[in-house]
Amino acid sequence: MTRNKLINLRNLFLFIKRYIFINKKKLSIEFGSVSATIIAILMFTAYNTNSYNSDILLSTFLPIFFLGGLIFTSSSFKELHDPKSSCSFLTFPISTLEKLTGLWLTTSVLFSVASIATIYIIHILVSILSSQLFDFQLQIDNIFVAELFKKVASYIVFQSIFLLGAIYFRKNNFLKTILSIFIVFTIYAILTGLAGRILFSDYVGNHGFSFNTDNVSPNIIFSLKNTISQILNFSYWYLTAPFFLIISYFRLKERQI
Amino acid sequence: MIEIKNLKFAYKKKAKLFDDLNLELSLGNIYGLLGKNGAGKTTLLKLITGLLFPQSGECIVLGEHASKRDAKLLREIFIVPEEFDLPDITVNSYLNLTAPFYPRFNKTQFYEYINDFEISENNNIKNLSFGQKKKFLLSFGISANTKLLILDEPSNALDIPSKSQFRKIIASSINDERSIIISSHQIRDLSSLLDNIIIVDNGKIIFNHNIEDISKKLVFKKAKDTEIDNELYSEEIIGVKYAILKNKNNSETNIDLEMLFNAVINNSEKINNEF
Repeated sequence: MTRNKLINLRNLFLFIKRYIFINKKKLSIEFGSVSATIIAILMFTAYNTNSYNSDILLSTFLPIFFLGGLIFTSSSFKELHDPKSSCSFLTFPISTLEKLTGLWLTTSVLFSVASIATIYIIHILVSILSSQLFDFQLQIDNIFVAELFKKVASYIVFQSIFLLGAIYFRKNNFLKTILSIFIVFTIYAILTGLAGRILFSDYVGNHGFSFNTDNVSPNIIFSLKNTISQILNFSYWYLTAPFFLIISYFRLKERQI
Repeated sequence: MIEIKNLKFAYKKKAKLFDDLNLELSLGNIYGLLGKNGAGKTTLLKLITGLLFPQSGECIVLGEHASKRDAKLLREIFIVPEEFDLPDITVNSYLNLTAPFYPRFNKTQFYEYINDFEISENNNIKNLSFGQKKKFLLSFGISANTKLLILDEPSNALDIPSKSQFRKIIASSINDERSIIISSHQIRDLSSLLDNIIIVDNGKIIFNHNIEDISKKLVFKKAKDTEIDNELYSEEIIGVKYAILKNKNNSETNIDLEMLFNAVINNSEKINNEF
């Protein structure tokens, strides 16, 4: 038996196509109802504030995009957890890496592209409607600004945590993932605080975690803040998604029914 | 084709189900996997398909460790589970979306089978009755022409005409390049199909022989008192005594799978000594 290529692009394409087609009714309803809600919110805001522009659009769209995407990601491995469909999912004739990549691409990149395309159509529609109904000057702003792409990139990073939650938890994946993040961050904050107290005991008062930095050179403070910020920034943008995707891969590979 | 060596397996917090299990299955046969409830039939099928992993030992299917779930291997295995769910799409959509993953899938064969089972290609498979869903998935699985086809309780939920249709389809689909494993309690439905009988009990393979050998070694008939020396097992059905006897005269009788199963469960050593 010859070895597989790491990812067979044909398999990947067919798997994504199959996933979207099988879920097309659910996806259409969800996209349709969310779009209708966004249109209603934008029209209501335009009527109340007597204005409509891309800032209003993006401030409405981005939280919904984030929340919707994370909920969509959390339910992406539903087939794996249903006792009646897990057998066909796990024996589906593509590799674990192709299954994970397929569902990751669908819930991250494809979801983002579809959402941006939808919001652009909504933007045109709301601009036309408000110019007709409220006598605004018809003006279709450019919504493809850096802020949009940065938020989308941030979503793609953050959703990898929810992808792991989708594989790891059998039920209530979204809520359990949020709870897990909260617990992990709380523990992390406590441990960091304790470590800070121990390491920098000379600069910490008797109560609480406030640091007395009066005797520390401002250059050191600046350099410390800068370094920590750089480390956190690098970790978030370049390490978070690969880390959670690798764990997701092994979790899926080791999954039994 | 399948080599299971010294396999050990237990579910979490439960006693060991398989302890040092060994089994070899080859291509070109239809295997009947029989056993009482909880004997480990479905677990064995899950180990073969890589849905469960052995705690120790090996389960090698077509030269690959089943637990790796390698895509090349999965393309050569199709399992029809006892219970399953199908997506909310039509027969034709399912075919177009899923068949491309199986390199030897034969659409003509598939349409022939669903036609025999009276399933319309435009039906939504989600809305079919469970029996129809089973017929649909059996048709798909057989048409996939994988080297290994695994059927867990395939005749459950099938109506009487469909059972005979199913037997015909299975009989016509077997060839030297494929093997079929059928796990079932309804052994009377399958007796004419099987080449090999495997009986599992308490996590052990207690009987594994082909039909030809069984026919040569055993006779299934109404028992006469004079044949008591030859008797390996007997049971009374409505006042008539039926028995499994040693085949000393090379007679040919139809194998009564149900009686054979009862005999093996009752005293496997006595029956196995004849082989």
